[in-house]
This record gives sequence, structure tokens and C-alpha cells, in this order.
Amino acid sequence: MKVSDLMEDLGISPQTHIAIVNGRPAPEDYPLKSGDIVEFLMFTIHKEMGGVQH
Amino acid sequence: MRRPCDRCGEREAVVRIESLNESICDECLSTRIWRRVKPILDEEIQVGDVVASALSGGKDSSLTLYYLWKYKNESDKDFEIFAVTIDEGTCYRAESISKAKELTSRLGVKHKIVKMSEIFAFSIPQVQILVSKSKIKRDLCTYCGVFRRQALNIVAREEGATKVATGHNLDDMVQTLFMNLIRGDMSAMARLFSKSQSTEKLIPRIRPLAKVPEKEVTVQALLLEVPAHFGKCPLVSGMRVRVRRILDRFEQENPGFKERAFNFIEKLVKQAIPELTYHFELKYCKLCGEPTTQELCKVCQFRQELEAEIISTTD
Repeated sequence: MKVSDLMEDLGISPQTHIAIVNGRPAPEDYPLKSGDIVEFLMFTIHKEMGGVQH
Repeated sequence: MRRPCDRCGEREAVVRIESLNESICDECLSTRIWRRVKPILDEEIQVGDVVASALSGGKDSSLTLYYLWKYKNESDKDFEIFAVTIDEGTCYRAESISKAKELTSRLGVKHKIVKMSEIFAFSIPQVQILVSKSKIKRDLCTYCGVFRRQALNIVAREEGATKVATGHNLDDMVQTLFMNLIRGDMSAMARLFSKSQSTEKLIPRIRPLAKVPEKEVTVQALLLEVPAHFGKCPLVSGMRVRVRRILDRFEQENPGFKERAFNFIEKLVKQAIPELTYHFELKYCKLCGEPTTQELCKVCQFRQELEAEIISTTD
């Protein structure tokens, strides 16, 4: 399994998130192994979070 | 090594560059980014400059300050840098200011923090309350952007800056291009590619990260362990978010689209309307005297609008 497979399964876009595997950034084609700790960091947003809604 | 770098093959890959169909390591990423940042600094920074680095504490502005510091230490040019943070009063700003302080302390850079309410007598949360109760149909980000830009210029000028460096990355630039396109604002489009006129009151802006994609900025900031806040403004709204979503979809389907679009529009604007790009007329606001391209600056236009709302709601 690669990071991109996990992202697809979780519905996470590489346009908004980067993967951090075992504490270090990893590309989408990085192969995952059992026991890896994977975190996703959102670096941009695609939906309005607040402000003034009309 | 589970995924070696496609360029050097010597180190583990840390980021995927889809447009080049390759994954690269930390060192190759650093080289790739520096090759894009350094020419901008070489061109924009002159001997004797005093550069105010706009520092929100987010990843983009933090990396910008880091690169200015690196450039100062590695180049022969004698120039000064300091950081300016405008605190617009939003709840999430406290953490980013803490990161900004950590970074300036680590780099040994002077840091000026100014509350927006000290300059304009109101904060962005106060504007939010007012606008939410009124009939004004304008996104809060528009107010925040306009007020912050002018506040930054005022503080930079008072501190003796000759240039203001902002953290705009390639994604920001392309979003702005398309927003100008949607609004049909040719003048704004031209100004984006113009060298700012240096006047007594307007400090020219430089954007060292203008050619670096946001994803690469993020990974680089993490790898360099630059203190930076990765949170998102809880008040974000408006056209930019929607444009970003659409452009990211294009990028996903056509890797490299943003870079090509930026280069294409830059070339087109500079060739097609050179008189606009280099000779737009700068005026001074009739009310506050700040630089503007109109009779009244945007800040004064918005202030009048908000004051009218206060009067109408108290009547």
C-alpha cells in the first residue's frame, strides 16, 4: 500500500494535504509498511470556514 | 531506503512533484526552491535596502523571513531585515504570533508587532460583527486583506523600510490572477506584474516565494523546522476559497497547470500592456493621504461604508 492509496481511501486530496510518515514528510508514492505512523497535514483549505455568510 | 529520490538516488524522497513525474529528497527540494527564490532576491534587493518581512507566523511568511535571513548571510550584499506582524485581533492569531516570536528570536531578527486596532481603531472581529448585522455583501477576507496591506505599509514606512517582503507563494499568485480575470480588473492584473513604484509613502513589495508551489513551501518549512503555525483562519471566506478549489482541481487533472498559467499570463500581460504594467498612476487618498490608485483609498472607502452602517443601525 502506498500513501496515495491511503489518501484515496480516506478521501484526502494531495492538493490540500501532505503525508507525514513516522514524523517525516513523504511523497504520495511512498510505500507504507505495517506499524508506520501516518499523519496528514492540511496546508490549504477548500471550504469557507466562517467569516460573514450571506 | 523505501523510496529513493528520483534525482540523486541517494536519499529518501520527501515530496512528490507530479508535474515532473518525480519524487525528490530534502536536499533536491532545497536546491529546487532556492533556484527559484534566489533570482528574485538577486533582482529585488539592493545594497543598502532595509527589508520589512511581513510575518504572520504562518508557514509562508516564516519561510520568507528564513530565506531573507539566509540570503543576507550568504550574499555579499549589505542590507538589513526586520519582521513586522500585524495582529488583526482574530482568536487564532495568538498562536501564530508566538511562532513568529520564536522564529525572530532564533534568527536574531528585530520584530515589530502592531495591533490593527492601534492603527485603524477597530479589529477584524469587530468588523465581522458589524458586517454580519448589515446588508453589506462583502467577504470578511476582503476587509482583512485591505486593512492589513495598508497597516503593513504604514508600519514598514515608520520603521524606515525600503522594501516589504510578503509570503505569497505560486498558488496565491495564480489565485489572484484568476480573481482579477473573473472581475475583469486589468489594472490589478497589470499591477501584479509591475515593479512597485517607490514613493515617499508606498514601500515597494517583493514576493520571494512567488514561484514556489504551496505544497513545496509546506514541506520545506517542516524539513527546516522553521517555527510556523499551520492552523487556518477560522474566519476565512470569499471568492479566493472557491477559486482555489477550482484551480486545485485543474492542477490535479493537469499537473503543472498553475506554473504554466502563471508564466503564460505574466508573459501576456507584460507584452500586451507594458504601459499599464510600468506606468500606472499613483495618487494619494484625499482623506488619509495614503497611496492609492483612486481618489479614496480602499481603507477609507470601507471605513465610510462601515461608519454608514453604524449610523443606520443606531438610528
